[in-house]
Amino acid sequence: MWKKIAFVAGFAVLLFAADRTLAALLSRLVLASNARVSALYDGRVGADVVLVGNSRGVHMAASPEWTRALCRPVFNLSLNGLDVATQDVLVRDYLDRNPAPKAMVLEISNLFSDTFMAPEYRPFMAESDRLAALIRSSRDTWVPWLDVSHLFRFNSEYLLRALLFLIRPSDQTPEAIGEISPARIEAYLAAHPRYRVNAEAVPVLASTIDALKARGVEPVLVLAPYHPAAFRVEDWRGRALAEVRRRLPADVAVHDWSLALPDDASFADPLHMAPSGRRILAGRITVSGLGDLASLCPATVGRVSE
Amino acid sequence: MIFNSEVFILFAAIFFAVYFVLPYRPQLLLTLAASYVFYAWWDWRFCALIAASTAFNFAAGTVIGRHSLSRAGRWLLGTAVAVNLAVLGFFKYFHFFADGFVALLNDLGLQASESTLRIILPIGISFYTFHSLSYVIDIYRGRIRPEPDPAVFATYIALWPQLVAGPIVRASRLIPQLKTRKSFSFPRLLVGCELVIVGFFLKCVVADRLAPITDSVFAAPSAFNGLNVLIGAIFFGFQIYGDFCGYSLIAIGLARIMGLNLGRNFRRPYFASSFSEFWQRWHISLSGWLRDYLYVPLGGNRGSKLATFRNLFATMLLGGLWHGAAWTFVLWGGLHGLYLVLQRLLAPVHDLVSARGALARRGIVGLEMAGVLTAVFAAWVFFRAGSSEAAWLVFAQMVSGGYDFAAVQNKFQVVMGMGLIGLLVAAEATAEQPALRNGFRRARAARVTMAISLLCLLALFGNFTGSQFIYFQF
Repeated sequence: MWKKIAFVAGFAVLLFAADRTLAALLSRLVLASNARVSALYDGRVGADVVLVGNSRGVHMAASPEWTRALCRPVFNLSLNGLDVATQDVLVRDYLDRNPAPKAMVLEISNLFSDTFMAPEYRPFMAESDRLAALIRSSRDTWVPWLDVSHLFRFNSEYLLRALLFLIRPSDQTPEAIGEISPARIEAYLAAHPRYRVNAEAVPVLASTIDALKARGVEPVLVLAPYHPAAFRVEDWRGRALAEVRRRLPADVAVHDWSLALPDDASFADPLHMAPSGRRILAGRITVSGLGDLASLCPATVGRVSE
Repeated sequence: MIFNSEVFILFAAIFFAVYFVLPYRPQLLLTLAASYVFYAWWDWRFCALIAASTAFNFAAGTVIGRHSLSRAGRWLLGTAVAVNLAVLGFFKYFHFFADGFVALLNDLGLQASESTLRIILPIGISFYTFHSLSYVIDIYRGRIRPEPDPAVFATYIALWPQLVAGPIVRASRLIPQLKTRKSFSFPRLLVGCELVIVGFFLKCVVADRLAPITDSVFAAPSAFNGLNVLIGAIFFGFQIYGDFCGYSLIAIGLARIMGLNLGRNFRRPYFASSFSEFWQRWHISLSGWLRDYLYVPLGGNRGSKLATFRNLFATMLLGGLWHGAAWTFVLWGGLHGLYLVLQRLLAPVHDLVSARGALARRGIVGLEMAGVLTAVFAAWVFFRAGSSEAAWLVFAQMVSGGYDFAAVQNKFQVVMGMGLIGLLVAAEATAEQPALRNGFRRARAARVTMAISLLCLLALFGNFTGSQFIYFQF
């Protein structure tokens, strides 16, 4: 009888030890990674300009190109599917752990979605009480298991990304996602896209803006370029931007770049820019600067179309 | 309720806490009640059908038992089989044939529309119908005696670990086990838990991590390049194995903890070097059932070659139809029938090459394994695709879609999937070696290490969104 109890107890202890040991090892590896969120939590970012947004922000800018365009260090914190609530946490954690940038560019199309990506970044919940609280606020049934198993905190696609960028030097240049084609446009239109402002998200964005201003960071809100097909079902820009502007403080400008690049070659699909489009955008920023943030490079005439 | 859900954990905890303290009769009745609760969790209406089927087959078995191996017994058996198949056919194949009939009438210019009656498919009906059929047939054949205790028979039909997706356990194997009280056994608990852990790993890690890739590829093959589609098709072969083998292991493990031995349902099928061997390793309980209750009664291989081929083909065709009411399942079954026929036709070539020595034998076996794997995975495309047109589109895209890895979508998921498949193949290749397999079984430290490793992998990579098991739809 005692042998059996001892066996079960011993198994439990071994399992607990394996879980905690492997989780501690993974935590170190994830923080050491060159992936963007890892760099944030490791306090390794020293940028004048930080971009943040969802996948449209990811593909809007390759930070090496913007660094060359502005002659200032630029860091892209955008993440696929990033929602406004998680973005708020990441921005605040960024400001706590890294030197405050001069400007933060927030791509606002995450105001039109209702994703919730905080659980994807649970490998960092031990580093951030804010992030941990946001994840626990979801009250999903799996949340209590995060305390039972620390390995479970690394059950996220971000872990693989972090491990990959232990080897690769930087994730600041977006991966190629192909070229726009009639099939991709058709697939996009067949999904019946509808753009409605998520009313709960706007106050959160306003709070993020307040936090930035409190730290002397200039917020620059932009709506990144869309392919014209994105407006084929409905030209929703005017309605959506009017609603966003109405709900945000009056002194916050929203730069509408949605029609800045109407040609096919600039896009990988109706929502995301292609490398050539990014280069054109970076070239225009060279000329016009970013909000009140002038380029430190020699300037010429011109401005991004609105 | 599904195994990978919180409510099941609660169900199992309560069940096992009470099960082992009860004397025989209450233990049996608890198992029966728990089985109906388990089943009713899907849809309480299903319970009426399984109860009616149980009552009918209990009575049929009793009556047939008085007339086994006689002409009257044959008529009674025929009636019982017909009723069981009619019920299965009605619930499972009504829409399949109705849709085809309506389409035919429309093609002939006669306006017809499908009935507004929507038939809900009771979960697990294919499995418990086959249990019932094997029971009445074995009674007729004199292999078993009718079970006099309705509670024992009802528990055999509804036993919760294997109710909704097998394994298909013969009455001769399970009913005797239900007639004695089961006491707690620590070694059985360990073995059962080991099987459950491996099962959850196969389902929640292997199958559920491959599923997003296969689902997206099969939903729209033309949106992916050829390499991506090929990856999706290969991933499905491992997804369905992880899903189904995983479920079977969980069911067998839970039953083992209860003190019941359900046998084995999978034995490393992708290491088969022939199609007949594949069917001795994949869904063993179903292939055995089809062999004993369909192939052999049709004549098996006792007649001419042509008759054997016909029997093989018909058995596999019906085996495909058992899986579901769609032409793709029939195509899948037909393909496997064709493979078995081709194997028989090419057997002389195998013998000729094998006779040339050990090296030649190894070479031909290696080629055969590769050939079987390729053919089986090609057939899975029909199994998974929503239609035969979709299946052909998958093949067409594989051929003409281009093989640029840079254009493969969701690379992280693809790389993770490849890693998991590599791990699975390596583990099974090791288990294929008898010396290593037996050595592992004897080494407690190795088994503990494996269990801890799998639990850690489950925590790290498991998908716990409560996804359904693929074979629940059959």
